[in-house]
Amino acid sequence: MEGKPFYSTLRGETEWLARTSFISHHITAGGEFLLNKNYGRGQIFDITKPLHASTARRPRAYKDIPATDILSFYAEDKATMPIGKHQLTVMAGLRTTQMLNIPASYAVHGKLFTDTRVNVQWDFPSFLGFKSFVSGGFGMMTKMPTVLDLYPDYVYKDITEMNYWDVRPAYKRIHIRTYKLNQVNPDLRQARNKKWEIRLGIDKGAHHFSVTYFHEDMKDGFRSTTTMRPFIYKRYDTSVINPSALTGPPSLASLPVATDTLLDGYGRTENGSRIMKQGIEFQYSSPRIPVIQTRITVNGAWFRTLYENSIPLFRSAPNVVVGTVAIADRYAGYYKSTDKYDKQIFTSNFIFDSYVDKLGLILSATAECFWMSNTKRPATSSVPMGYMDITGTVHPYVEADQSDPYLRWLVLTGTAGQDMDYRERSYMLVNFKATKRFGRHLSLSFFADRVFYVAPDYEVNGFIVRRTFSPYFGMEIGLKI
Amino acid sequence: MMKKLLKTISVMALALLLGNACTNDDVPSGKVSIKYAKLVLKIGLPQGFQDVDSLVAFHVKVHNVSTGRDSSFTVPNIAREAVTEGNPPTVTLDTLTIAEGLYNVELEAKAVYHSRLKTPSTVRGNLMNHTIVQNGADVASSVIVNLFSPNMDNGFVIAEIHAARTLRPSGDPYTGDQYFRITNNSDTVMYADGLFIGESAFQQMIHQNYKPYILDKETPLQYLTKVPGIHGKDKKYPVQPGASLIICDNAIDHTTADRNPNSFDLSKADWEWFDESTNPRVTDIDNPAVPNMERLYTYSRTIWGPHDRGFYAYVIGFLGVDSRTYLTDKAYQYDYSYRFVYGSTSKDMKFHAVKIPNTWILDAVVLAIKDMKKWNVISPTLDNGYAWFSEVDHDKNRYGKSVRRKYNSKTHKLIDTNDSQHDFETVKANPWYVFK
Repeated sequence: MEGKPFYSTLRGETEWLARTSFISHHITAGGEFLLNKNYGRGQIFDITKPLHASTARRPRAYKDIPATDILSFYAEDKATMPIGKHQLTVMAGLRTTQMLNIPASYAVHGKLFTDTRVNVQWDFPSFLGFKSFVSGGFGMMTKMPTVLDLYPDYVYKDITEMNYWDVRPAYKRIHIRTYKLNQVNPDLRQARNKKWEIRLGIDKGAHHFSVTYFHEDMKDGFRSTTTMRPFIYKRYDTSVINPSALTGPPSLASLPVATDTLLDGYGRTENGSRIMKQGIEFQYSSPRIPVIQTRITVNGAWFRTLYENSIPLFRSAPNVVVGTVAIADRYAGYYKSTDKYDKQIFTSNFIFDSYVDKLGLILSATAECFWMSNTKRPATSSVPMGYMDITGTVHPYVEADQSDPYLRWLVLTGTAGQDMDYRERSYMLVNFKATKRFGRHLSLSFFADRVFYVAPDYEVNGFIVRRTFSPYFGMEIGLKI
Repeated sequence: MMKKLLKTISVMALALLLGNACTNDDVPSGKVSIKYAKLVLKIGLPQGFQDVDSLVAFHVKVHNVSTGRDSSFTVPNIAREAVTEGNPPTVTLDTLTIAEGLYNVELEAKAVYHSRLKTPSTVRGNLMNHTIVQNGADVASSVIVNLFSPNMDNGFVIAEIHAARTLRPSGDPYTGDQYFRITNNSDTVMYADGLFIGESAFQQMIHQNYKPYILDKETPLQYLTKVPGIHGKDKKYPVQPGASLIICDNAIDHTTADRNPNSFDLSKADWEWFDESTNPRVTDIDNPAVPNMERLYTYSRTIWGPHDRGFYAYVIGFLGVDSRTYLTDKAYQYDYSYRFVYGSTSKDMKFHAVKIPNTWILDAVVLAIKDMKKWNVISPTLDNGYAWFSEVDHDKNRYGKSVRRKYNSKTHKLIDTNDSQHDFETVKANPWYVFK
């Protein structure tokens, strides 16, 4: 295996301040060029003597894969303007991304992608000692496909057309037809993630409180999908061979031959995944409470992630053979939804920091509370919406097909067709940490995590689930020079 | 002197007192006492037992699954008068006092018929995984074990199964020499045309509550292959009384230097199973000099062989319909499910398979690891016991071994009582072994 990876980044950035009437600007602008390539030859092996008899790999040199060249420019302005007693801050930016070195046939060739980001914050004037602000933001991020998505290796499909065994090794013969398939998807586009958020904050003296809600969505994420197609091959009938009449390996021309077709799938990358995320985060921290010299911090978050395929997909049929019909060779099912999950989690932490300045000691106790987590996996399709036959035509799959001796095998088994929901019950862990400062340069910490825990047993389907957490300890030394 | 004696006696008395205080008749805290339950054991006499006069030499074996202990007893005679009417009619055998636990019950008796024309035949009963719990000191629970007449045909029987494969001189397993030996155990010429071999869909090591339950009438299979020809119509393959057939993986001489001198020469086998494939990764050997079996159904497109650790059951017989009907008719398709429970997840897992009616089956052999038969993967009326060649799972000593039917040198017949534990022995594999 020979790999010679080369990674390089070139970046230039400028920054300046400006003023237009009552607005002060802080402007940043720059450009970035990224070049990655591997100059090695990849796996080096004798193709007639592969490492394993069942491998279908052919060698591919890394240096045959084109380099990744990404050119980006960006500009951002942070403008602050007082409006009466309020203050408005606007941070707006633009980033352009372009992939160079892409062949003209690709959809991403020569395209310039622009991502905008805007953050706006409104600070209210101090009212009864309360300082509050509201901010919101919106941003886009474009993800470019990777080199393996853009330049996948060829897929080699080998089909045995004739297999003749003879007790005399020199008279054996096997004849294989190979299809060399190009699974490049030139229509592969970039994936774009859009996110927006809104935040509220209130401070009073040393009390700080903020709460944020965000939502992001990407509908064209990269996914490996299966392309199904028929392959034509010849079947040579070796049963007519008379071994005693052979003078060498049998010739193909002497055998009766029939043309047949089989179905198979190979992978290619498409824009077919959707990821949606949303969440609420909050944080509150108090000043040091005088008598006990302790600061209390409470933070927590609720997150939800939704993942699903956004296009229906083909799947190979099970490997069974009914009579002479290998089902997976003849039929392939087309299913509406193949995987989807919806996860939610809610956690919060309660942190108590006590400062004992006379001793230079900080004692900290944290209660990590895990309130709720559940994963919903709704039923994926078990009955196909259609199926492909050896002509390559896709037919709709009807109710009667479920009783057909061959098509019934396309109804997926196992857990397909049922939802697999999972729920984790709540628990709480308590951690301790003590930090001592020595002078201005040295600090020593000792921590003990999961010293206590509250994890009640719960019963599921007649089983009692008991959770235990083992504590662990450690020390840290900090040196400030 | 007196004082010393008194002191000694009082010390001894104290010791005895204390000692006795510790050996209390009551069960001390911390020790678990075994509860005994009363179990009324009844036998059920379903249809077909109307002309049975009496059951003699009734042998009962009660096997405790948790402790591995057996207890047996014999009831010499049960007459028809003792039968209580009902559905099915029952007879109370005995009331047992046994410890709580999980039990298997096996019964065997000789049925004596009213008609003098019918010779006494063996009948059996089988109950697996029955839990006995004490519900009160004198409360008795009862259980009915139905009797059945095992089908003991004298035609084709499975004489030997070699599934473990053999070891190369280097110590690595060698694949290609698995075989089945099938013998004509009758007194007339039989024809092997259309004879099938099937592997059960269920295996010993995975026990689930499969629904719908069909084992009483049909056997689910995951592999089915047959000798070419149609039974009853073709007579291309006659088998003399006492003669055997060898059906194997690759019918070649495996003992050559480039293969495995520890294996056997199977080039004279009668048929080989050939798994033809368009996938070069699945390249099976087809000896042109030996005819191939016709594969009817397989669960996987790879090269098949019986499970090499001995987990499945094998059946032989003849199809009752032609191949085309068998493969396409709904009557032979089996869709089943079981409830999978793991933690908080409880799902119905669904599967497709094929099945054959038990009436088509001539002989069956259940394989399991020694002492690890846990449940019936096929109906116990086909095989009430099991044969083994592995003493533990992944037994390194199983290579080169097979299970072979015992031979009765007086009657010159292989022993077949439809109980492989009784009929089979574990031997060194040899496809050409001569029975004597």
